[in-house]
Amino acid sequence: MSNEAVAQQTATDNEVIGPEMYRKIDAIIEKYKDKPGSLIPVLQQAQDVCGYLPHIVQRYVAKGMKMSPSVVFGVATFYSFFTLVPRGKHVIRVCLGTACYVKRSEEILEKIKDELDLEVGEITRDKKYSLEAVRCLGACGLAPVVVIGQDTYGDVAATKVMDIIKKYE
Amino acid sequence: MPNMTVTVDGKKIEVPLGSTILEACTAAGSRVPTLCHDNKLHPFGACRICLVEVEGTPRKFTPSCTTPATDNMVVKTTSPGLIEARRMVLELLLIKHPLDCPVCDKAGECSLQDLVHEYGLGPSRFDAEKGYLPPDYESAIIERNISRCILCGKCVRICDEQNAVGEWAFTRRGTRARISTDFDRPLDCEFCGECVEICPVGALTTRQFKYKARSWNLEGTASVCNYCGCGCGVSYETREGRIMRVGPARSNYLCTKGRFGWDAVHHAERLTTPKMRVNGELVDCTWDEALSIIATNLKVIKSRHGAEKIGGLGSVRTTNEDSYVFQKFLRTVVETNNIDTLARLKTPKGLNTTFFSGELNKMASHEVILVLDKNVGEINPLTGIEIVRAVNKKDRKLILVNEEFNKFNKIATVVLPTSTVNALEDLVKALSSGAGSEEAKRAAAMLKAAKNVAIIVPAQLSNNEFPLIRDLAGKLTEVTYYPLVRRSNFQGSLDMGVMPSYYPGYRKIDEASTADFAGLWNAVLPETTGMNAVEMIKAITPGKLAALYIMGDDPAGSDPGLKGILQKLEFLVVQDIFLTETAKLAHVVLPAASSTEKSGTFTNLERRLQQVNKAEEPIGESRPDWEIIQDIARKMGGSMKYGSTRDILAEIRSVVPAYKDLALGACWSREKSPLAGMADDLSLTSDSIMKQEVITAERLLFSSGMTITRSHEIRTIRHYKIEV
Repeated sequence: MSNEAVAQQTATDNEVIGPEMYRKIDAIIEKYKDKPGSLIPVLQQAQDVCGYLPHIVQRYVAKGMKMSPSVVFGVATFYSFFTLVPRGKHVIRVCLGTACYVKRSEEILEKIKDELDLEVGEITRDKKYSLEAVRCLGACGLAPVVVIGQDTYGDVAATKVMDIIKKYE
Repeated sequence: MPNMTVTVDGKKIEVPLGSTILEACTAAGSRVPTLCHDNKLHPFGACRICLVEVEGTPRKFTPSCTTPATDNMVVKTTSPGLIEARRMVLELLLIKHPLDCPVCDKAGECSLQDLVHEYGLGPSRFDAEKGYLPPDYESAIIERNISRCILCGKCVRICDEQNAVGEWAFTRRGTRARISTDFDRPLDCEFCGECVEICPVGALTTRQFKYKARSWNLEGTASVCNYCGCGCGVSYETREGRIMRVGPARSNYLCTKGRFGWDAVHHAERLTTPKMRVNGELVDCTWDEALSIIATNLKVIKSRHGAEKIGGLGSVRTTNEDSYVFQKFLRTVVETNNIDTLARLKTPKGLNTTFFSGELNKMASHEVILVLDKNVGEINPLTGIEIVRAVNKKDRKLILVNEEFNKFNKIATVVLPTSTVNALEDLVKALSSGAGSEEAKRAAAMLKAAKNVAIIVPAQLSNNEFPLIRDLAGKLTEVTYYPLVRRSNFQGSLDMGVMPSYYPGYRKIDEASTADFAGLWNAVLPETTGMNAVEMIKAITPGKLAALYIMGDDPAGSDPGLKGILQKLEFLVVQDIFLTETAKLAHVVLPAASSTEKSGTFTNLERRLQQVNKAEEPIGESRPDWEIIQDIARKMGGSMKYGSTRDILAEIRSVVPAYKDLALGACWSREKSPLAGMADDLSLTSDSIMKQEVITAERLLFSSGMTITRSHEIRTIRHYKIEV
């Protein structure tokens, strides 16, 4: 990424991340800063505060934790539950693991993509939903599985999935 | 340490307890291929090419770099099975590697290329697409070619373990994993190039060396870096007599100035001919004309005003031989002791009397390291690296005095966030009465418990700080000082007596020493001591100094306020490698050969005598400094007859006791100096001249006087800004 592109992205992120959020992150860092190996919980909680982990937040955490920003980015990009781009109010996760795939979860995914007009990893224009494809959620007995926010739905049919989603406003 | 017995390929050997299998194999003389291993780094075990067979273990093959050897272990480093396994590792690495060796600068010294050649791989069984990612040209100095990367992580680890910077990290996951920075931004680091040096493949290369030469066409010349006082050993790698790149030698590390900043000597503005002032303009002339004018003018001024109105400012970047001949010329031919270096203004009080530096590679032998100058890594990068190595490899404790935040904060055991003088007062107080802040008490307890302490002495010390350091040291068991010294041969210039009140070897000028040196040099010597650098500058305006000979220094460039003063001189000679701001004011300008173009010796801050070797022919008509001065001395009736720098060094050895039996590469001990423990102060102070350190870049690390401003590579370094 070039210097110019970074500057542009930073300006966008600065609109979202306000002083109140930084205060909350300060409190998180204060709690963990002397505990070795605590970067993951810090990032997790920072993501809960901001909704995602933009460059400015990662740099802020790095400075607070006395770590190099590259390492923070490395961790943030390794774990799939961290996101570097804003997420919707409700995150829809469709399982594409073996069991769900056999039970046609791909059709569910295609249906959501069509209905909400977005691709995997994207967010709807009204910022209500974002869509993720995940590997295995460990609930193969319920295949095909869709997770919306904290709620897990099993045995979902492609024809019915939008009825479930619409319950989330 | 107790030993254990390991049998490698049928050979029984003893290795220390705790050795890895790889170390045992190396000790037994069996070669095990490695890609991700380096002795400078902690074992990592990423590449799996170092597999060996260990008798009696359930697993088939064992990675030798990460597995500790045990007593009576029987190891086989080669077998048909192992060869098959290593070929498999290579085959897997080559799935994505582009094999663009014909255009890769690493070809010929690439570990992957060598191993593939050795193990003779045929066509791949995989037809996966090459993971092509475009090369990254956004960063200064360093280019990264991600597709060539084998993810060994050496760059990540050296930047973290040795440099404490951590610019590189493993990012992303699985097949998308790559070494990068946060959000793949351009580099914003120390640009030392250690990651490029250690990269086993061509994933990291330098712009300076790009398409310049093939490694097998390069010839190495061992020499010494000419930037800071660390005096790192370098290898100038030349092709057809021209330097193409520089690599590390003795110290196993080079900073950005040492590795990339040498290109200043290839700058198009190098002086190639002597110049003299005709009708107010500097015009090219012949050597004979230039030298005759200098000889005549100095003789005239000497007879008209007296020798005490002629002075010389020496250099802290020229060799010992140059400095020695320079002071001898002024003392025996011009007959003045007005001789000095301006660098004494930028030097810690007490250097060479109280503070004698310990050896840098013994930093880790100290239990506690007290850093009193947060800029240690910027002023003397190798000192900084040795501190990080001591902390990260030997678990030494670091006490850091730093009001701000830098890389040393990350590895410090205790940080005293205050000024040096306050920190010293706090520590002395905490050591004597046990009172003070929590940090000061912790630091004091650590210092008190330590058998030996290394103290990093700031590059400049105030009158208050100096006695405090001595107080503090007095309360500790054993102290080694590590003063910071900014220029490559500052120590040498002092040793050679480029000072108005000392002869070479720190012999104070008095009747007895003058008689001794008159005998040694077979010359008439001035009876009084001379003016120091500050006094000389101040003497110009009232007409007490009429002529000045400046060898390899640029006072007007470092302090523009001096321009008007130097213009008042009746006669100014400047001998330099560039037409500097000072040279522009001169009546005669002489082109000198750079340190890559001449031989001689440097003495670094450890007082280590090191050989400088000529790697290139002098550019244009330029000549080594000592040759030029010898010619002028002869024209003025002096009797210098040195045939080479060896002759000069031989004379230095006969005159300076510390150098008498000093082997090249060894440090002279403090007992050899008559000033050890004396109250003499070899630093100068001035409230009007050269008050500021010249910082020509965004960081002190990228600055080194005026020379570095001519380095193309260093000038390309940009700071990367992100507002948080």
